[in-house]
Amino acid sequence: MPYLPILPTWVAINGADDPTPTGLQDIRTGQTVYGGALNLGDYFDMTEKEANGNSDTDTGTLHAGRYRRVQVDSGATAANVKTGTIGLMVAGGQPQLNLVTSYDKGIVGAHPVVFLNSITPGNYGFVQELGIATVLCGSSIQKASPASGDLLEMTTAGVVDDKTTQTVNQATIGLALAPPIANTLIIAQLNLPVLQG
Amino acid sequence: MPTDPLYNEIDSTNLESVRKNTVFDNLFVDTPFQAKLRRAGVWDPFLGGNGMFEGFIYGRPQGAAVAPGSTVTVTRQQMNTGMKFQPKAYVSWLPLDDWELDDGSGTGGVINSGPAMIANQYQILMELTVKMINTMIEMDSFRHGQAAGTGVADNRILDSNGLSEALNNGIDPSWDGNYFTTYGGNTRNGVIGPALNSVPLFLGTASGGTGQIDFNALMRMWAQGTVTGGSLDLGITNVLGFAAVANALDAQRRDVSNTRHDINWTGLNFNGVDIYADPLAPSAQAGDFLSLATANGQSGNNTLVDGAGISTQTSTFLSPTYSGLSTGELSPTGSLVPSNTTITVGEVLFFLESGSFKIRPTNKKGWNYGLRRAPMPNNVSMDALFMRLGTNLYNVSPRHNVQAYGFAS
Repeated sequence: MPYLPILPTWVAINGADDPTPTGLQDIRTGQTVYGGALNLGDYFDMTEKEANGNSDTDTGTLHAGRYRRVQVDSGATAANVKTGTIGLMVAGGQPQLNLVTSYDKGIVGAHPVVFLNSITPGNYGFVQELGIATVLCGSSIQKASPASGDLLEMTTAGVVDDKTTQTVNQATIGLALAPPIANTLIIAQLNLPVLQG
Repeated sequence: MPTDPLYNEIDSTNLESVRKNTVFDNLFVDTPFQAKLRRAGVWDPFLGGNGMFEGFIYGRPQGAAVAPGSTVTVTRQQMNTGMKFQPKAYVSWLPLDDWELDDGSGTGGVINSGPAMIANQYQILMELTVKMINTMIEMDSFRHGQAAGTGVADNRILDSNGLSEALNNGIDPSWDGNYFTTYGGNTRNGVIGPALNSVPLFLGTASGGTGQIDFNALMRMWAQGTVTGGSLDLGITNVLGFAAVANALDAQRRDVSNTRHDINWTGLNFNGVDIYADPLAPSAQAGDFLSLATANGQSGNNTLVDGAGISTQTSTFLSPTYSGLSTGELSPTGSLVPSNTTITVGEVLFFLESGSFKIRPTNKKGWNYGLRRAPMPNNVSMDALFMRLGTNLYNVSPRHNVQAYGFAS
């Protein structure tokens, strides 16, 4: 049961970019050191206050939701793994939940997650998979009058768009809680599957 | 990446030079306000019960000079009542993995043990939970413990009933921008009149900017606290505010005596008031040096916060619009707060009667810096540790105390 409400995160949840799943690495051999009991796949829920308090505010403020310790696949496109972009299950790596990749290397709609910060491909960090998240809008917004409450869809490079046609499909990630603006981080309510393991 | 061979000659034959069991604290600071209050004997353990009751007098019986032989109608109105405060729960927590750490029992700590251990990480964690609680209480003691409502912008119902709430008159804003129409459950300026009032003093300009602390301002504070029968003996201000007070008095060649007082902090005596410099007291400038504000990498757990997750760094607020007054006209209470004006708080100074305070920690050891250890039932090594304190801090005679703000350091 990797649902773990008692765990060390060592750093702010949106500040993790670790070479090992436990966050601890032997400085001589580079091997994973087990201690503190942080493990790959640990997921946990945080209230708004807890998430705020565990944020590196230089990177962003986290909100209420579910967070998971994952590895970013070594084949991910680094430029697409950054604050507010969408990550996915690795195409060819199904059904691994704790290995995610950038949008361009994943299966659209399969275990969508929101990246909280830049994570080096191959490294470990935390992503958000439920709750209130900060997502990055693309360089253009399709809908003429984007507004709070609009459906958001993931698109190229893992950014989100507010489509003219508001239809739920496998690219839908949730509801905008602020008017979508091009190249801007906005908060959104995630409408994604609940996954265990 | 590992080197080949793994260890070079130096590393394979030399340990690093370490001083065992020494870890320098570069985050937390001392909490002199609590220390001074404890030494003043205001520690009053909460033995249990439905809240903390404090009786007080607000009214008087009838009386007059009369002609002998005359008759009077003898009436009586209520003259005393009580205020009530609730104990507040302060907790600091962290996970414990007994693969990594030993709790002192010798049953765990596969890693952090033996002759290779530089410092006991479990001991460090325990000491930090206590420091965290002390920091929260110290910072909370300058703020309030009420729910949001009329005059109160922020909900702090879980926090101590501190100075901004106590030293208020229900009309003028305290240093945190709130004004408190009740104290201890009693309505200020109602049936009890001004019995629980303390008038905040603004030392800034009529346009809301910061002014200067000077001898006259200190005497005004002393007078406000003394005219009500108070016996002011304790001054608390931030280290930066302390500097402003000392500089102002020294520049005027006034009654300054820097003395090393009895709790290891340098104090300054003014008219019988020992003014102490508290690094966690409200200040505009302390955040430049202490990790209070979000700047220079100050973020997340490297900052000092109170029980509500904020600091005591001061900023600005909009003063109330007093009835019948235009913008900038001064409050009718004598607080010198201009109406409907953006106020820059700057530094804050409290002149206090230490004997009018009460610190009320529970006498139940599980909640008096007591540790609760909750194993995660299906985890092989993980427990949650909760360091806990049930307490409150409040004042039984706010009128014997004064706060002033709006001066620069």
